[in-house]
Amino acid sequence: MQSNAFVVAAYVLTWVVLGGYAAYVWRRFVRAERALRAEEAPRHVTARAGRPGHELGGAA
Amino acid sequence: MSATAVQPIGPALEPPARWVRWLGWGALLFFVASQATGVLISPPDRDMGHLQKIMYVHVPAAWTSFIAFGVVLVASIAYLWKRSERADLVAASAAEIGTVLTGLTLALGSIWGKPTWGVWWTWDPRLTSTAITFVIFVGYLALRAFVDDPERRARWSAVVGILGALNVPIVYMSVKWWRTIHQLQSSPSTVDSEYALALRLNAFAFLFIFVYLLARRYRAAKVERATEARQDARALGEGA
Repeated sequence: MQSNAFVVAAYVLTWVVLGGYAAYVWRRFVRAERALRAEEAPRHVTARAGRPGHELGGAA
Repeated sequence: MSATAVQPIGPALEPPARWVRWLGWGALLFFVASQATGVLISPPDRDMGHLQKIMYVHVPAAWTSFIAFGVVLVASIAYLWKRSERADLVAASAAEIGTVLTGLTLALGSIWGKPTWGVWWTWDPRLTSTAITFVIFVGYLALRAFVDDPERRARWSAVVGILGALNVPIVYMSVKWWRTIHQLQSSPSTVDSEYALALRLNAFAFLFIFVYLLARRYRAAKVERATEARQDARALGEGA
């Protein structure tokens, strides 16, 4: 009975560690992707702002 | 900063390859089937009873960590030779997964050790050399977290990665070189044929999981590196 508890603990731990690590990798990718898009966003705004007639292009 | 000296990686936000997604689902299904074979079909051991089934997670986790550190070794040498950023990120991704698997191996060994040896931990050569490898690669990950300059970080971690990976043969041979209570190296040829199938299946299941996690972790590392490069370029532009 007690030996079965050790086996269950080993298998549960394996799933928790591998599943937890996979979730960590996924979260890290999502965060990194969001950060990269945020880094690239100001450049798009600047490019649009340079177009004639755009509201960010200024009164001139 | 001399980050421009390294060979750059490709576009960071390109969509993931279709094979990675298929591999993920395939690896998960294969993992479930392999674990079911080990737990439900494989017979209990004459001496250890059901405790023997811990072998189907403990041994594959250890083997796969060896493979991960082998990838670290090859990628680290490739980085030092070619100064390829891709090789650096592959090494870092494999090192992280190898560290997780080594930690898991130690924890599973401890769970197996308590009912069979009577202790959670003993300073046995196999356990100690595995723990040393674990500490080296925790240091490797800490080094990468604390060094800001990408090229210096890649160079230093490549050296630590090679030294850490060279510890793997010592771990593997420790049960032959020194007096130890740990059994000799397990393989399908050294275990009873009734256990060989489940051991093989679980070994491949762990391998597929490793390849999937490596592809995912490398992709995350590539995006992080691209973000870091843009932040550095912006900081340099603002400073000028």
